[in-house]
Amino acid sequence: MRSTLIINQKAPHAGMGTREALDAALATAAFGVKTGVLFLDDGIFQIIKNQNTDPAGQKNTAAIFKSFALYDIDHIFVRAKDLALRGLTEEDLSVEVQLVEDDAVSDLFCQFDNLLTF
Amino acid sequence: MIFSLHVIDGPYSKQSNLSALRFCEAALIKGHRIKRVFFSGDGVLSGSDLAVTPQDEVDLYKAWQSVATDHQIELVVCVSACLRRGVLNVTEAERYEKQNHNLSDAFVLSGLGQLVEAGLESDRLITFGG
Repeated sequence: MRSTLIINQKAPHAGMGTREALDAALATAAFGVKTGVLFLDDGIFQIIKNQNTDPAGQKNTAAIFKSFALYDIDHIFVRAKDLALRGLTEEDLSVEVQLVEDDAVSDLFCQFDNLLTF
Repeated sequence: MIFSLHVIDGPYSKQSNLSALRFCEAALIKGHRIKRVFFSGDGVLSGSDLAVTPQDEVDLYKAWQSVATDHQIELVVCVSACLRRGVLNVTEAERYEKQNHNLSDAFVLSGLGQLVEAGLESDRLITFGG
């Protein structure tokens, strides 16, 4: 069975990207496909703690990421540099992640058969 | 080689929608097979049969429809992305009690499972846009 890595590069709540990436991740996992999720650049803001989306009139997607374990999505990656650049640490994230160094991102891409970018 | 395409951006608002179409045409000329083109996000607007392009411009809507009918390529639009953006087929229009529907006959409305399946059954799944 081919594996899929979902790549989230954009900050949440400014468009539909986060929700559509979530739908894609859950659909992929529902097919029994090994599914990984990688957060890059401003994409890491999708999983920071204590998000209040009410003023923006948006659904709070952060809670859905917490349900990933139920769908057997347990490979969640964050590029370490992206946290550091934004003054964040793992403590600021609402889900458990595996940190990836800058030069290991391409290796990660090679570990999955399909890459879906949002 | 068997390709499937994932088109995320809407027609004209981003170049990637046209790039996907051109890729499709080029791959077919080279003798490859396109299993499926899956449209999500604003990409589903490609399925509207009500959009009108100025005469002296590339008619992306018609071009996708032609690719589908000339080469029997499956064009699938994501149902949840469609509902949100007002692209409905007859069934969905009836279900949500809308008076009109606008999905072109060249497109099929279905779920994300079709994208997953395309990824599993093609040699390459290529995303355009995002």
